[in-house]
Amino acid sequence: MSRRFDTEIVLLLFFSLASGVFLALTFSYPSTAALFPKIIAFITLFFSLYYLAGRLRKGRGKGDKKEEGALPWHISAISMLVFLGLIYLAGLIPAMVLYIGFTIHILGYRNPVRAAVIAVFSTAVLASAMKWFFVIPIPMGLLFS
Amino acid sequence: MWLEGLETVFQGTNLFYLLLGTAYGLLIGALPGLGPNFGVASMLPLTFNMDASTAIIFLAAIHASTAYGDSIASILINTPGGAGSIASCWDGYPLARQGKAGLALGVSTLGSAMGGIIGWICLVFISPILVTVALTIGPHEYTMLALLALSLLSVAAQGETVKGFILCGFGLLLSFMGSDPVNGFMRFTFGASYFEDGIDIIPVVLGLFALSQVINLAAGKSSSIAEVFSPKDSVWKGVLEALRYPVTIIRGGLFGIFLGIMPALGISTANIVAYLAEKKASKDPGSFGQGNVRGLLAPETAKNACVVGDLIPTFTLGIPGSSTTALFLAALMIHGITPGPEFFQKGVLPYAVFIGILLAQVAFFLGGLLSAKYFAKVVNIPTAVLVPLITVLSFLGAYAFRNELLDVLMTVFFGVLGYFLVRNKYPVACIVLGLVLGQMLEGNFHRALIIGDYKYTTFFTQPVSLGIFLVMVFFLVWPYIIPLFKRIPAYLRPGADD
Repeated sequence: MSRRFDTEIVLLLFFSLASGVFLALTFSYPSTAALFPKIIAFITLFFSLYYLAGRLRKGRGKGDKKEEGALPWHISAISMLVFLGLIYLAGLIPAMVLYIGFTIHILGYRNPVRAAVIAVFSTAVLASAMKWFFVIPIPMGLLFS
Repeated sequence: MWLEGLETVFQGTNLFYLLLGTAYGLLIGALPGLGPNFGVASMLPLTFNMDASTAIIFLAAIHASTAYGDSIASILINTPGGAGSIASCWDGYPLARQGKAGLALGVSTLGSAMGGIIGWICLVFISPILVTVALTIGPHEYTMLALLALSLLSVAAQGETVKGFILCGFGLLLSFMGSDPVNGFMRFTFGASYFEDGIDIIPVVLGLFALSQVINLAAGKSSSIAEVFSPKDSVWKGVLEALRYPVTIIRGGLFGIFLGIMPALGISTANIVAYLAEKKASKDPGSFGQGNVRGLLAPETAKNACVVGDLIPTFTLGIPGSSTTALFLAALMIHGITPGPEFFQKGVLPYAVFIGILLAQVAFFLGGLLSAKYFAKVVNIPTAVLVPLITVLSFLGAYAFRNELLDVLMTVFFGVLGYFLVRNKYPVACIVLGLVLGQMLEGNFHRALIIGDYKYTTFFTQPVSLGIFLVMVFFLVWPYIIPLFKRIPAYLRPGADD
């Protein structure tokens, strides 16, 4: 039986690494700027390593429960990054239409016309609210700015 | 001043945003998994062009109505709308299964409104007293209060204190990025100009609380596990039914206020504690969990009393009562107002804000009575539509703050981090509180050291500072002392040595 990935150990490694990096950087700062971050980084590193050691001593668990939905976490994260990239390149409005329509379709709305209608309508409402109601500039993207 | 405050609130713009905030809050609250954090964080950047009083009234309306609206999903689909509505599922959903969804919504509406009003009364009477206290305390006491807040949140983290410490520490480290509060020295920027202004709270909150929930929704089963019950009976019946239990209302309200005033303990604790206390006080505890009206009324009252109570330490001491009120802190500072005694010297502003908070309770009460049944339809929105819409709203909120796409990237990062933290039962609110309190904590720490000639013992020679430190130690060691007390009677029992 294959073991599933234990994300808690990865989290603890991340916090240990982050606090270790912060701690290391404090040695190159003047004493006043370094004092408090040094204390906090040390305490955080200590607790992270302490908990990690305890977790490893318990032995690896069953691993994370398998996700059952349509979109695993890494696909969601990648789609969000792609959405962000589209905003940067093409601007908010085209990116919103594409992202909303695509995500609705992937998550279960098999009717592409319905997905497109929802995408266009919600984009129109949200973009209008941003621009005219809350007066927030809409990013136009590299291609159109 | 109260009359001038009333006039300010009843200006067209403020009334409009009060109603808009209430409607938005009810909508967001009804969506499962999103709570006041998302509601306030998503709208906070959009308040930059508003007056300070309009902005706070708008956010207070969202805060109050989202907290109330959270109960809709708890009652109708047995899924807490937010952390403050967990206990509402326990008797709310059974009531809905008995065909009394309308009654349950009515109980929730009245309980929430009464809780909010009890909280408001305490806000008005306790705030001036705390402001007087705030004027007498100094850097030593502020340092200890901030540490107390972080410690309490860690201890309240579902029994996983060490996890809470790790996340508080991580939040504090994030707050150190940028210029240090004493000399302005640039720290932890990793060579990127983006970090020179520090990490802002809005992308962090939107990521940890909204995008993480989006990833979770998309990765989980798309259909509800529980059956959805639509309210067919009258909501008014529930209001009248709730009025039969004034003691429950007052008890829940007091629990909510107490837990709200304590820094860092928030609605997630208040609703559960109030439920358990009500069950203990009942002559028929076995009926709890089967659709007992008091089992729904108590947590609802406590929740909204806590929502308003959270604002007390926020406005008076500048120490947020919860991660949502940390956003209020950010809102005040964005509008150039330092919380604490200075806030209460801003002429008509505090009175307008207080009256706005009271009217927010009335607004969601009326909104709930008239339209809870319609907002309840929101729970039927398919996940396929919710996921991209919440993502887009989060992106817009993160972008609107500084018009920086890097803030949106930061939101995605914290969204992924938040997803794994929640999956592994880590208390994500600790990161937010660490981030918010970090600069204040460090600044006061250094000021206290300067006053005490750089001797660390200075924190223990000031009586109030020492007192707060001892309270903090008490709360930290108490969970470990209780089992010791339980063992002693067993040891002394006859035959224990056999």
